[in-house]
This record gives sequence, structure tokens and C-alpha cells, in this order.
Amino acid sequence: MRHYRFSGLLVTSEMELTGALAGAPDGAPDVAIRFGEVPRALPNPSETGPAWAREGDTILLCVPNLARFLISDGNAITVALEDGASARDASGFVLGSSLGMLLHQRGAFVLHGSAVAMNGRAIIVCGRSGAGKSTTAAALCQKGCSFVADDVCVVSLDADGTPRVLPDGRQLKLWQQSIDQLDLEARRGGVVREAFDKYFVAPDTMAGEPPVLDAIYQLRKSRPPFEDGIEPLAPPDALRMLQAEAYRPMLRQRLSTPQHRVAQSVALLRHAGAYMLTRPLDFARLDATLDGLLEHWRGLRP
Amino acid sequence: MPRACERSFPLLRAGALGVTVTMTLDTVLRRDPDIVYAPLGDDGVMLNIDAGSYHSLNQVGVRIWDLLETPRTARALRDQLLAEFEVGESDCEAATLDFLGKLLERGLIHAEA
Repeated sequence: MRHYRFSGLLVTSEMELTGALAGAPDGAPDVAIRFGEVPRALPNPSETGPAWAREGDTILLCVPNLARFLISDGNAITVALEDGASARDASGFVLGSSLGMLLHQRGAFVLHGSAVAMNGRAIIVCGRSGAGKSTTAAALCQKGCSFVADDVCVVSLDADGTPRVLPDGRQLKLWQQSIDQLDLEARRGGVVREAFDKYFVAPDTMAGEPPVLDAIYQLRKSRPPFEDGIEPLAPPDALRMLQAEAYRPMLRQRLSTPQHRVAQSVALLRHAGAYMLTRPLDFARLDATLDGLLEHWRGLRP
Repeated sequence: MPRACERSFPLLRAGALGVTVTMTLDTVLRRDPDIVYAPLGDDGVMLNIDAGSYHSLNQVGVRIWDLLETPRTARALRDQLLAEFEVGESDCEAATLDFLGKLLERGLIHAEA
């Protein structure tokens, strides 16, 4: 049995979770991951989505030619590998979709974005695929930030309402040699991320208390009429953004009540700012954008 | 003849396009039950579940929303606000009716027939 810590959860697993940081078996696990029988369909699903179906507290996720995952009661994931599939490939879907769905079952506030920290304070960068959130986060790490979470950002509230970003417990993919290549890649018109040299590092944010969330930045590319810069989002726009940038928003919508979602968003906005960051299309100006972002963030800190 | 303040507001809700509602000072107004409201600092934010739309209220708007916890007339709202805020009667009435019209338009409150 292996032990991991993921977004504040103690996880025991029969399966090796490639890229996850090992945790000590200190206390009762919150989540158990095991190999076992998983049906090919649920008898009476109340909702279905691309590759998933839900019935009550159970979600079935089917990845063709790889594996089926049964995510139950917010505390268990059962994995059935398809013939010839590798557990290593399947583990990516445990760390990503399956645990993301499980976090929704637990009512956690999960945002789809990248989080970085500095001096115990954190920001989350959200945005559509291609808006550049991973690139931005990776570049911020080159400017002295540390990675907290990529893709699955869980925000938890202290007793006094202070929001903290829980490290996702993955050995994070840092794209070390990429930043100085960004300019070149952008001119080639290629997808930057694919050119990245990925390697694993252990984030130093795993030690100590999770960082306090200062702000969420929604990233978009500049094009008329949007000009480069950082603008605060009015409360209705901030609520809309938090709904849209939730991890798998449709699933969240089905697993929670509107009251719960508004309460979560408002609790977060009481302590953290929400901003639209419009970045230039040209990666050559990325550096100035990041400096602007860091300066903006510094201005928010107490 | 009593002074009447009648205004027509287009209703923008789906299925009700083109319908107008006439609000007078004596129209009784009530909250839509499917609005999720939460205070945020001095302001308030709300979600209209049906429409999936988000809205915010300023301090005076929050006070009006609080008062509408029990259905009441526009006149009663105006009088209460006059007592609570430094504002002249005609300004208060115009602003209150304007605000209530916006709430009606967005389906956040309803006028009783």
C-alpha cells in the first residue's frame, strides 16, 4: 500500500501514482484507491457527460482502451485496467479527473487553474486552454515563485474564513528550458507547451501551512477591444468567473446546490481579489506582463 | 386627485418579452424565491437561478433587498429609506422606483397584481 497527500487529502493506494508525492501514513486515510471490478455502465444514471456517468454518490469514468474508474462517496476510487493497458498511464486519470470528481463529491471548491506562491501567499491563474495559464505559472516560477498546484486547485477556508490553496501533491511539471524559448516558439506559431522539456521537481510549498490566497487572475489574450492590463472584476463578473473556471463546471453544477456554490464563491471573494489579466499575444512581451502581474500582486499583500 | 407615479417597465424574462408591468407606489413587491443572495462587504451579490445571471447591489440596494424580506409597497420602501438616508423625497422616490424597475426587469422581484 502506498501513501500520498493530495489537495489536503490523505490517500492510500494499491496503484503507484506516477508523479505524486509520497506522504507518511499518519492518520486515517481520506481516500482509498484500489484495483477491482468496475462495471461498464451504471444501471440508472441521473446524468451523463463525455466519458462519465453519475448515479447518486457514484461516478463512472470510462477511458477507452485504458481503464474504468469508479469514484464513490467522496472517499474511494476503484480502478479496472483494460486488457494491455498500463497502470502508469491510468494513474494520470486518477490524479486528474478521478480525484477532481471525488473532490466535487466532497463539496470542495476546486478551480481549474495553476497556483503559485511566494512568502506564504498564493495566486491562482485561470483561463481557457490556450490562454497561457501554465506558461504564466511556469514563468512566474522562474521569477522566484514556487508551484502550488497545476490543473486542480483546491481552495479551503480556515475557521476565520482565510482562503488557502492546497498543494496538489504532485511532483510538478516545470518547464525549465522553455521560458527562453517562448519567443522563438511563439514566432514559429507552434504550441509552446508541447515544446517544453518536462521534468519533475518537489515543490517546497509542501512543507508547512498551505499558502493564503491573495487573488485569482483570469487570463485572456489581448485582441480588440481588450487591451493589455489588469482590471478588477465587478462582483457579478467575479462570481461568473468562479463558476466558469471551476474544475469541470457542469459536474460541479450537478453535484452541488446554487446556494452552496454562491456561498463558496462569496466566502472566497471576501478575502481574495478577482482580476482579469489581459496579456499581449506576443510572447516577446511576456516578461513585462509577468513583472506587471508581480507588481500588482505585491500591491495586494498586507 | 392623488398624485400617481406610474411607470411601465418592460419585462425581459424569457416568455414574457414585450409584456410590461405597471408599477405604482402602491404596487406590492416581493422577492423571487429562487434568488440566492449573499452579502459581500458593504455590497451584496445575487444569483438568479432560473436565468443563471449574477447581479450586485450597493449599500442602499442591500437595504431595499433586506426590507423586501416581507413583501411591501414601493411607497412603504420609499418612506423607510427617507427615514434612514439623507435624501430628499423626490430624489428618493425616483431612485427607488428606478431601482425597483431594474429588479423587476431582471426577474429578481415580482409585482403583485
